[in-house]
Formats: sequence, C-alpha cells, structure tokens
Amino acid sequence: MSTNIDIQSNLMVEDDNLDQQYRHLPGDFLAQVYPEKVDRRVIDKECTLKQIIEYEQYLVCSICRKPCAGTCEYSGSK
Amino acid sequence: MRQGVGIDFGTTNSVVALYDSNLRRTEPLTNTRNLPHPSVVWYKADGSVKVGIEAKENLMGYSNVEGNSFVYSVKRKLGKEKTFHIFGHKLRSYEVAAEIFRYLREEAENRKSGYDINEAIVTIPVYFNGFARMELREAAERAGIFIRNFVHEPFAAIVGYCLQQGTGLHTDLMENQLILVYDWGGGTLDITLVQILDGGAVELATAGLEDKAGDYFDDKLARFSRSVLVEQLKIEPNKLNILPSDLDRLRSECERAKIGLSTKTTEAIRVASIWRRDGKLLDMDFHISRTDFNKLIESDVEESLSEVKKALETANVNAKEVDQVLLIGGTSRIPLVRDRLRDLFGHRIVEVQNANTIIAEGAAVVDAMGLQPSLARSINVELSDGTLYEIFKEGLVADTNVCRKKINFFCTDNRDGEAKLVIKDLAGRVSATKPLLKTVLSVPVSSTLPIPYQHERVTVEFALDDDMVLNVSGKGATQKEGVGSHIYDLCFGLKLQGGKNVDEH
Repeated sequence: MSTNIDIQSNLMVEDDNLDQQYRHLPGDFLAQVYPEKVDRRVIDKECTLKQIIEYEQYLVCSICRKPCAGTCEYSGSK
Repeated sequence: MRQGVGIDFGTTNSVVALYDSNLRRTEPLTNTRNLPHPSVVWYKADGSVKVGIEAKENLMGYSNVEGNSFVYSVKRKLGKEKTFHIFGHKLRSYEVAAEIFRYLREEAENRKSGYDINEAIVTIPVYFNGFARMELREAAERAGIFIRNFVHEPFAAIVGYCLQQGTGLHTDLMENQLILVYDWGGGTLDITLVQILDGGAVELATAGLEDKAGDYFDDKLARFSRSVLVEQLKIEPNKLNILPSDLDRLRSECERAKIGLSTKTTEAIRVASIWRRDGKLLDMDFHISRTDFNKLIESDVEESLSEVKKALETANVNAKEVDQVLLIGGTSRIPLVRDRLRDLFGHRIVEVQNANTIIAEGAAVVDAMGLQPSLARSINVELSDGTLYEIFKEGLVADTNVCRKKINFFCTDNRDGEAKLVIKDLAGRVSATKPLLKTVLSVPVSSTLPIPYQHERVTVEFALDDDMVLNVSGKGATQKEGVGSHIYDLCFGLKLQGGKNVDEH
C-alpha cells in the first residue's frame, strides 16, 4: 500500500554553535519557548523565512478570529 | 594469505569448501557421490545421531518406525524460537543445526588430514535476520567452529564465479558489469544485483522470497499427491488421515520426483503403505507430468520474476542492461524457471557448472584472502531540515571496531514527547540513488517546556556487531531509559582485488 504520509525527523546534530540552535525550531514552537524572537521588531533578523511562515500559520486573524493564515474571505487572499 | 574454509549451511544441502592459497584452487568437500551433504538429521532412540546422506536415505524407510526421528530444513527454523521434541527432549533449532555443523566438520577433517576446521566464513541469505544469525553462530560454536564472518550467499557466489582455478580471482574482464545472482534454493529465493566496480563487487539491490522455495514446492506436490490419492480411492478428503511420519516419506518422495522432473517429462510418485483401510495398507502410485508440475508452481515462478523486476527497479536498471544472470540453487534448475528467466534476459543466463558448491567455494576464497565486507551504501540520519547527516560512509570496512559512533542530537520540537530518528542509506557512486533502507526510531523525550527553554538532547549510538547487524540505541538526556533497534538488511560490498577498502571514519 502506498501512502504520501512521511515521518519528518525532528533532530539536529548538536554542534558548538549553541546560541544558533533555536533557528532549527519550527516557527510556531519557537514562539512558545522564545517569544522575544518573534517580536515584530526583530522577527526578520532573528528567524529564518521558514520559521516566519510557520509562525504566521498559527496567528489568529484579526478579522475572522481564526488561525486562517491569511486565507479567510475577509483578509483578501481569496 | 592463509588457507581458507567456507561453509554453505543450506536448507536442503550443506557443504564445506577449502581454498589452497598456494595452488589457488578450491576444493569442495562433497560426499561420496560428489554431491553436497543433505541437511537432514536422524535421531535414534539409542541416542546416536546420523546426518547427511545416511539420514536422508533412511528417511523413507524409518520415519514411521518407532525410535526414529528426523529433522530437515532446520535452517528455516533458526531465529524463530522453534523447538523440536525428540524422544521427550526439547531441542532448540540451533542444537539440531549444531549436529549438521559437527558432521560437516568431522567429514572435512577426515577427508583432509591435517586440516582443523575450527574457523570458517559462513554464508547466509540476504534476509537472514539478526536473531537467526545469532543462532547460526551458536550452532557453529557448539560444533567447535568459530565464525570469522558472515558473507551473503549471492556475494560468495560472485567470488566463486570470479575465481579461475589455478590463477586466482579475476574481475578485470567483468569491470563495470551488472551481474544478477538468482539464488533459489530449498528455503529462500535471494536475488541480488551486483556491480563490479574498481575490482570490487557492490550490491545495488536485493529482493527475494522467504519460505517460498524448494521445500514449499515439495509441500505443494505432496498436497497434490494427496488429492490424487483421494480421487483414486474415491473417498472424502477429510477421511484420508496420513500420519506425520508418513507425510515425511511422501514429502521426501515428492522432492525426488521434483528433481527428476527437471530432466524427465514424467515422474512416478510411489509411497508404500501410506494409508490403512479395512485393515489393509494401501500404497500411493501415480505419474505426474512436467506440465502438471508447472501448473502447480506457475504462480510462484511469476512471483519470483516480480521480485527480479523489483530489484531492477530499485537499482534503476533495465533488464537489457544486465550483463550476466547467475543461476544458483536447486530450484533455479526447474525448466519453467529457466524458461521464464530466458524470456526476460535472453542468452545472458549463466548456468553455473559448480552451482551446488560455488557458494562454499566463494566463502573459502573470502576467508583465505581475508576479504572483508564493506558498506555498499552510506548510513545517514535525516535531519529536521531535510538534509542527511552521514554516520558511516560508503565503502567503510564492515568491522565492529570501525563502524561504531556516538552522536549527540537535539530535538527541535519535543511537544509530542518523542524524538524521531530517521535512518536512511544512500549510494553515491553507483546508479541506485533511492534509499533502500528507511528506519524510524522513536526516542522518548520530555514533552514539557521548561522556561528558560532547554533543548531536549538525545544521544544516539550506532554499532555494527559481529553478525553484521547495525544496532542503534538512543536515549533522551532527561529520560532514565533509552530505546534500541536492530537493522539487519544493510547492503555490503566486497573488494576482490586491487585497492583497499575505505577504513577511515
């Protein structure tokens, strides 16, 4: 039986660059453990593009009040 | 270079071969009929044990006589925690297998005075799991034989094929060739696609069938014979109760008829006194044609071809690109099997002359030359960003001291309380690039999110053992206990001449 579901690894090799390890955390998880990193003023500098996208997926939309990731009919993406 | 000893411990037959490094010749130590020794053990009530041709020949006559017990195809039972009840004693399958090793050793030492068969290379099917290897090692050690290393049977066959008696190994003419080893014996079908590269043999893909081989065909033929008897006697099938000892005789007769049908178009199946009715003992006596036998096994032969295609597909190789197809094992001698393979590969089918002993001969060469298997594919861990982190590189000698590493990881998302260790192999320089292996080990970690946040650390150890099984164990830093996994289906290569295996970390 074939499937398109794949198990994604959640491990990174520990190296000497300890203060940069947070850049491997998923964006939504990063917001929980290091909220200061996703502050609007520093997010572009502190986070990778992937982390920013992941973080924004879970933000509650100010119009539809759901984490719609900009897809609700009111936010203009549709 | 030392004198080499190779042992092919087979489901149906077993044989020891020696390699004389001075003469550069192998010598298979077959029985008086120039055939390998049947892997049959005959236990007698007086405590004596007979193995080999004597056991096989008496199976028909004595299996239903009290005080006699026969065990055959014990290789299929290794690693499956199987016990045999022999005159009130429980024997583990490795204890029965030890009798075969003991017999092989005695026979070999009697034939070659001065030779001490206390160390050998033993061949194994590709899909022989770690537990089965462990039991095989135990069996050999009980017979006083230390297994220096295991070699996959198709590999040993390739080495045996590359040997030119009197001059040694020659791979020059086969450089870059793709060789498919089709080894269908009594217990398993092993298909291995090998490429000869830089004087070495590298596994590109493996496939096969477990428990669908010669023994399975014997059972099928026995069931067919039973149905013929039911028809002849005009009775209900459930009225025909054949005793287990008589079934052994029927099975043995079916094996003989099956072998006969490879050269004849019809064969008789005759078993005396197989069923009792109204106080009379009735015999089984009928003829089976090759056409009828072909019908019985047709679907299995097609299944074997699907496995061949699967191996080719995995290696991204077309059937037309395969240079040689080596036919090894008794089941590959069945005309229908050969015909179907000819349809696929044409004249590139090679009917190996010494097919009965080539595996043991190849193993003896491996032993004499001290050839060590190397990893045919690199072993990697997939990281959370999708990249691969190499643990062991391709070509690394498959040695317990070399293939050993401890790596510290950190978990990038511990919310579900598990670190997912994804292990994949990869071939860099050969045509196959798809991972053949993908193993996921779930290592428990803490799911709490302490503030300030500390990354969940996971230490993973990778170690190849003597049985060529990769043992992986992982432990979360905050956990009391770790978890482990065994990976036994690794692909190996063998350097046959020139150059050296990669031996660095």
